Order: sequence, then C-alpha cells, then structure tokens
Amino acid sequence: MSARFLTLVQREIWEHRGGLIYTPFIVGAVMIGLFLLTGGSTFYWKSTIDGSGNMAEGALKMAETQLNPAQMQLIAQAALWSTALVWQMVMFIVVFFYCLGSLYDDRRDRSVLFWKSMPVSDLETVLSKVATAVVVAPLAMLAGVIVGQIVLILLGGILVAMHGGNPWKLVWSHLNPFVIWAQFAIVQGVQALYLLPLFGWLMLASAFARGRPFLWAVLPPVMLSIAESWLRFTTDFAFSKVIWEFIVRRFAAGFAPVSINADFGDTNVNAGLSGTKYAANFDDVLARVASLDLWVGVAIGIAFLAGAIYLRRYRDDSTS
Amino acid sequence: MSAVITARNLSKRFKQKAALDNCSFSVEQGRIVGLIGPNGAGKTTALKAILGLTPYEGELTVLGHHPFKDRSALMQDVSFIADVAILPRWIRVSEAIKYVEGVHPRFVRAKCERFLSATEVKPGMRVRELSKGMIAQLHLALVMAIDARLLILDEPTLGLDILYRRRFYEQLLNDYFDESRTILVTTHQVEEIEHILTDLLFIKSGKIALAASMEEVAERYCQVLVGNDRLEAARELRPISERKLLGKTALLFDGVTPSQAREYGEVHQVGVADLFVAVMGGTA
Repeated sequence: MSARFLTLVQREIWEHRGGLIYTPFIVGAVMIGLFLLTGGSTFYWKSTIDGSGNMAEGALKMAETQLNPAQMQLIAQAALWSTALVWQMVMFIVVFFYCLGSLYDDRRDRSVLFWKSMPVSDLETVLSKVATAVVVAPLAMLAGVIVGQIVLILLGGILVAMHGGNPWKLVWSHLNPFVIWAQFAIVQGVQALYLLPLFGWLMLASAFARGRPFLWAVLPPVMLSIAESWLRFTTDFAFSKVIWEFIVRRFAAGFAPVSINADFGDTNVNAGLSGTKYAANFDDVLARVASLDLWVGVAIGIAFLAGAIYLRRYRDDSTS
Repeated sequence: MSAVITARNLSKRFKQKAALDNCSFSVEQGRIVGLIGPNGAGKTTALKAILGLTPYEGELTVLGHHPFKDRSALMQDVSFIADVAILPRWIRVSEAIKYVEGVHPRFVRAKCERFLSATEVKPGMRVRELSKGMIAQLHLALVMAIDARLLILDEPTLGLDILYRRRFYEQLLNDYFDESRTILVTTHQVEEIEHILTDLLFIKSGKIALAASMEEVAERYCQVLVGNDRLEAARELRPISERKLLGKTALLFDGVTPSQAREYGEVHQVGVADLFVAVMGGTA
C-alpha cells in the first residue's frame, strides 16, 4: 500500500476520529461501568433461602461443586464472546452512518472542491473510504475489544475473590481470550466481504444524494416492493422476497455475525467440547466464504462502488 | 510563449440555459488573466471545466491534458483557491499540511511553514477556529508551497476585509508569481486587481465578449471627458458608452487614436470597471 493511500486513509481517521477510533473505547468504558454497577450490587443480593447469606457467594459455591471444567469454560468463553458482540453492534451502526456520509458530507459543505483540487483520483478517494469502513473501523474495534475485555476479565476475577471464591479456579483458568480475539478478527474479515454490498449501496446513495442520503438509501428497495405490488410483474412478491432476504441477512450479520451458545446442558458439554462451541455458528461464518450468497454480494458491492466512483466524478452540485 | 489553456467551441448546457456557449480563448504562460463577467455569466462553469470538475462539449486543453479525463494528473500542475468556505472546517492546520504533503508530489512543507510563520495561524488550530482572513492565509500558504504551473482563483478574497485582500494579492505577486507560472482569476473587486492583471477575458451570457491584453486595451480604448459644446461632434466617432461626470460627459471610444480624441477633450486611460460596464451593455 502506498504512502499516498495511507494519507487518504489517515484523512478519514482525522475526520472521523470520534466515531471510528474513540467509539470502541467508549463502548469498553461503558461496559466496564455497567460491570462495576452490577458487580457492586451483588454484595446486596440476599439469599432467598434464609435471607441471611449472600446469593452471589452461594452461586459461586454451587458452580464450584456442580459444574465441570468444560462447562465452566463454556460459560466463561460464551460470556466473553457476548461482550464482543456489543462492540460489533455499536460499530455496525457507526460504520453504517460513516458510509452514508462518506461521499455526501464534503459536497454539502463544499470542501469537495478542496479535495478535488488535489491530485487524487475519484477511484482512490472511494477506495480509501471503503478501506476505512472494512479495515480501519474493525481494527479499532478489535483494539477496543482487547483492552476492554482484559479489564473485564481482571475485574471479574477480583469480584469473585471478593465473594470468597478462587478467581483462578473459577474464572481465569477457564478463559482463553486469545481464541476469542482470533475468532473475532477472522469474523471481521468475513464481514468485510459479506457486508460489501450494503456498504457499497450506502456509498452509492451517499454519492448520489443532493440531500438526505438516508432516504435515498432506504427508498429504492421500498419503492421496488411497492412497484411490484402494483404492477404484479411477479407472483407472490418473488422479486421483493429475494431482495429483502438479501438485505435482512446483511443486517443480521452486521449486528450479530455469530450467535452465542449458552446451552451448557450435560449432553452438549460432555460429548466433547470443541474450542468453538460457545460461538455456536462460528463454523457457519467461515463456511460463508464458500457460499454463492457472499460472492454474489461482493460482485454487487463492487458494482455499487463503481457507480459511486462514477457519480463522484460526474456529480456537479454547485450552480454555475 | 506556449498556451497553458486552449478552449475551442467550449460549451456547457444545463437543462434550458447554456452556461457556456461556444467559447474560444487561450491563456498564455506567464500571464495573469482576469476572467470577468456578471453573476451567472459562466465564469465558475468555465473554471470548473478547466479544473476537470465538470464534463463539457467542445475542445479544452489545459497544460496538455484533457481536464475531465485526467483530473488527478492535471492537479499536479494546477492549484485552485475558491472563496474561504472550501477548506474543511474540521481539519487541523497540521493535518491539512500533512495531507497535502502526502498526496502532492510538488508540495514543499518548509515553504508552507515559512509562509504560515508570518501569520497568526498555528498548527494545532482547527479551520473552524480561524477567521476568514486566516483561512485564506492558510489556503494561500498551502497553494504557494506547491510548485504548480497554473493557479486558478475563484473569488479568493470574497468576504475578506481590505487588509487581507491587499496582502493576499501582494503575497501572491511577490512570493509566488514568475514567468513560468500562470494565474487565472475571477473577482467582483476588479479595481483591486486591475493593476496586476496582464490580460482580460470578459464573459457575457456564456460567450467571450472581450479577450485582450492590457496593452491592447490601452491601445484600443480611450476615455475622453468632453464638454457639452463638443459633445455632438464627439458622438460622430461612435463612443461605446457615455456617462455624465462633473458637468461633462465621459465618452468611451473603441479604436479612436489618442491624438484624434484629444481634439474633443481630456483623454484618460480606461479603467477595467468602466470598460466592463461599456462592453457588457452599458447599464451602469
């Protein structure tokens, strides 16, 4: 990657430092704050049995005596993956709006004239924004997840210790955050491809809109469905169904690419716990790379981006 | 002298109206050309076509490039300043410098920093914290640090007070301009820049109304202050404009020699503003 291109990406980071870089750390801070609140409240949980002992301590004793190590690991890792999904959801929203503004905001405030007075092609401009959405934002998110989860893991152990439990035996020995982070990073790679048509569409709307890019992004698929219902050029909305299923799958993946398996019933666990069972469909996410759905989406995404590059070049907003 | 810009039958049509209507003109290297016309005459459209920001019809060559097809290559040799609004408001001064340094092969950071050190503009400031005058200074410093061959200025001093306006052009002339460079400028404050212009391009309703060097203008046009007694006689020479002035009438002639004109009264150089009003149809 050339230094030039890095400068363009740097430019995106400067402009969106708050959204893209700080947000993952703010999410981490909020989660730590919530953890401290609930953690603190556990000291006031009175046992329901006789109203005297602490319920959290009782629960820890129960876990120590009744759960096997594999079950404990499942719970611990699943909990860790669940927290990662909070980052994922927030950053999906952030990147969604980043894409929507990426080729519109500078036209609105006329700074596009400054950017276009530099020897940078519209292709490079658009690609730098795509790279920011699918590489920079996920990397910042990964950094936020790592820092945040380290703190959460430490605090979790301390909380257990304050309730008289052994943090090593009950928490830390069962956690392997590196596996979570590696899986999370791999999922981000798949997401970059899987969400390309969505981000490409948002950038196309962003390059097209003379105002309200959000409406231009949302209206076309809606109008298409309305047109289909009026004109009845298909039976049973066959066309709309395909499109909306495609869209819904992207949003589902955008918010929660993996589902967490919290089922730690005996059979499941004792029948050989694989390292990935807590992220229930991690294997499915990987398998997506070999699916037609993903690659059709990539092709559509590239077409949308080509359209965005074309519009970036030909759109001439300001009056004579 | 080689032509930096050559336009032949340049046209640009918006829905109903032609913003540029078969314009042909050329701009030579080493000149400072004033592109002057009323609002909506097509000035900005012409600049946009030259900068590769808008597609057009006809032939247009800028420094050997087709501007719309090779905008990014062309921009290595062309710089552009519009009114102060176009610098992004969120950017810091240091970031703007780093950005231009990162994407522009002809940018010299030390030069830019030297220009800025003479101003109040500090690296940590954001553009939104700067006054209009300071934004103009920043943009000028960025542009003067680029070794470009053609500089396009579109109302660069709009909204600035007179001190900044004057300093802007002084700095441009003293620290930037030389015979290897060319400047094309539009402005409403013609009087302020007429002494630095070498050429005039008047544009009216999308057409070139006048294209001449300042020497040609001085040779071709003259203004004569005529008393009422000689007015009828002077009118025989077909003035292109007339205007009452202190009990006399100022007549503007095209193609009348000074010696011929002197018979009717006091002869003056024609100001660009007067010429503009005369050529544009005389509604002063």
